[in-house]
Amino acid sequence: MVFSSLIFICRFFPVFLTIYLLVSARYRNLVLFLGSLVFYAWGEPVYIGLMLFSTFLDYGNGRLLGYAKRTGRMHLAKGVLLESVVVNLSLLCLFKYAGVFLLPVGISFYTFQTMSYTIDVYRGETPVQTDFIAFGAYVSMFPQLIAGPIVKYKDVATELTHRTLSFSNGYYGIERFVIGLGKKVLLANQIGLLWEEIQKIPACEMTTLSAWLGSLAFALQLYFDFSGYSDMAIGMARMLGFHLKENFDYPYRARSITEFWRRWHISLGQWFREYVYIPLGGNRKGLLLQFRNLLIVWALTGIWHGKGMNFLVWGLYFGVLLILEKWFLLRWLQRIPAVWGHLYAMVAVIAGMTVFAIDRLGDGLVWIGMLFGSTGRWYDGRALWLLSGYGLLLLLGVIGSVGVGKKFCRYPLVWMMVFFLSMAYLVDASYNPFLYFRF
Amino acid sequence: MGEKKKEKLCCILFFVILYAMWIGDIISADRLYSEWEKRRLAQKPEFSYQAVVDGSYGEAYEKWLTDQFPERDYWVGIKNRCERLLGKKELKGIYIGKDGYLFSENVEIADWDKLERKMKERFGKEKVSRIYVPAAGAVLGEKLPNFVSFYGREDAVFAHLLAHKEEDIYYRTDHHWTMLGAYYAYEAWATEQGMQPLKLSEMEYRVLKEDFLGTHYGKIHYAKQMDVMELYRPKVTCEVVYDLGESKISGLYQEEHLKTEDAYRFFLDGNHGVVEIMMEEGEGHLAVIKDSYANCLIPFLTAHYGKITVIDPRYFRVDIGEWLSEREVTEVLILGQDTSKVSFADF
Repeated sequence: MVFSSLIFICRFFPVFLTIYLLVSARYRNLVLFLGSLVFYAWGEPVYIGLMLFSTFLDYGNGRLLGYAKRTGRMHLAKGVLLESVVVNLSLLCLFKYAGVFLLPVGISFYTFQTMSYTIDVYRGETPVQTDFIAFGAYVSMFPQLIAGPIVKYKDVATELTHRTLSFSNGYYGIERFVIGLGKKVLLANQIGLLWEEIQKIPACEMTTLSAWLGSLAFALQLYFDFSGYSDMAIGMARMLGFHLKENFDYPYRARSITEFWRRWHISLGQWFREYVYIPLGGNRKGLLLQFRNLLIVWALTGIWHGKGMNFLVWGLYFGVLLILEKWFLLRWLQRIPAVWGHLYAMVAVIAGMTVFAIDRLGDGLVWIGMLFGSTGRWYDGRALWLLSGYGLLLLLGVIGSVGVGKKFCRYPLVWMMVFFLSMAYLVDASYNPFLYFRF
Repeated sequence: MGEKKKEKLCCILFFVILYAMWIGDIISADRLYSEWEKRRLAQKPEFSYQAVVDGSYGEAYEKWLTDQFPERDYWVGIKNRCERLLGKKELKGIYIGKDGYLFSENVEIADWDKLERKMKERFGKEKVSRIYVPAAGAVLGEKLPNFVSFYGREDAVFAHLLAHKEEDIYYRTDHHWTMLGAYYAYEAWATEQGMQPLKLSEMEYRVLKEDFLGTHYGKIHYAKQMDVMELYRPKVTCEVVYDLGESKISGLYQEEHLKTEDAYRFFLDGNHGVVEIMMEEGEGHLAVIKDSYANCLIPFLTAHYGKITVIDPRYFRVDIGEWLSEREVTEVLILGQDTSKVSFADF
């Protein structure tokens, strides 16, 4: 099930929330766990076993780690940790990269979450969870199951057993959910139509303007799609009593790539930082080793997004830019007016997004060429036609993506209007062949 | 209102709205067909273990929920309005042009070229003629939204229509031409064939309907201006047999459709496989192989022949050539819309 669907908003969620609110506090984890299983099984009943397996396994691993540490068997603890990491990564590789199976929804997210649990237990940063239901509720928690944010176990450990429901949580949650829904349905899906249309243009009929429209559309679509999902997740989790960390912080305001990645998909960046970059030595062992570590982290970040070669290149591209920035670029950028920083960051991000968006690496590079005038034509009738039909929407998207109008959207009447319009767009979606979900 | 009170009120209101929509859905009966969207709506899916496991039940359920959502037409209307507000000039394949004109691409509904070849082989080249019906967008280029254009085959019919583009030769809200548009096409064709075309003044004129909303309107439920449907009636007496006598209707014009949403069916009762028209006087037997554009042009042809056999290849699935040659056909006219897709202005 996806959040931005009528079945979720008008059936699953009201029923789930009613039950969740009616039962006494000690059954809430059970309701959350079972509800999440129903949520997951609705679209993909086959893979529910895989998720349950992962849950059982790391619950067991946690208990075993606890036992090993209590009795001082550090070899056993190391072994269990290794086993947990190897099994989780093997599952991920087998289902995501081997190409034998269809990609199980959310696998990239929940394997990372369960790994964070065993690693943190091993490091002694969080106590062992002995309540299987509570652990199951953590792994399968439907708000973040499909597209994150990647919630580290220690961040919600307390709230898994002690959380409070209140109208003020509920209010914040609803508002946040509705804004996320609007981002997804009103902006991402609609701007996505433009990207679809531009992709259909034969290469020989492309112009510089159409290439830029396409790249801008994709960049906005990706941001609103993904951050909208995160908003909905954070909002719903808040209604249930959880405080999840922010996953996006207006990334298109960034003045450098370093800053961009501090603002984009924050939970993934932090995961890699905490469990890969710092264990590798981070920046404490000299510039050269730091650069090596950055390249490793960014190659992994790239691969995490998908199995295509373009994702690896995309990750390394950002890795290299980050290395350049740490080396000297950042100091330069600080000395020149801010506008140049924005410009540099935006061009670098949009070029990167293009490689991300286009499956075949060669085509992506050709596209980047088109952005910089390789077609020899600035614009044509089709580009102007698309600009006239989508210009206003793109403008709204650009304004929204840098956070102008944020306060305005928080007036109850405004976000209720957003909900109303989102419903209209969802009801008419059966008309719309382009609607798709990337994450 | 205090902050706490506002929060409480919003939470409760949200819940109430979600459940109210559900109750609304239960109360409102499922519809089989949407007049508004002109399509069958999804129905409640059959529950089966197999369908649940392979995920198809979930998908079908979602479709059902969406299609049968309470006040669906209202929601769809809201979305259309938003899109227009955002400046979109193309909705669901309909291009919103100037002066209230709506346009769409012409698609090929039958292989007219192949039919033409076959007929020429059987009846001889000089006995077969053809009218390509240009897309409204090709003739009324100036009414198209900016940057868009349609291809038009530059033949005599096209040129003649183009010369009359200031008149109402195409409907604003429907993909068809008006009877006036059909007349100009007929005039150009008849002249080319060496016939003396009827004059508009020789015909009986009547306004059929002043609030016609056609197929384009049906798709997007938006029109700036309603269409006037007119009739130019040649003074010819004839007898009409539909579907080889299987249909009870008779006459070239069917008044009862004027009150319905499908008012264009007034002409020749819309689409039939075969329609035979026998005139009181006149000579020759013309076969017209056609699509719906011909329906309002055929009345003009009745003045020139003793008999006209009208065939719509979509609804008459026999070997048309063989069938016609058994019926002493003297001439064949092929009339179908000219395929025309959107292209973009060049700079």
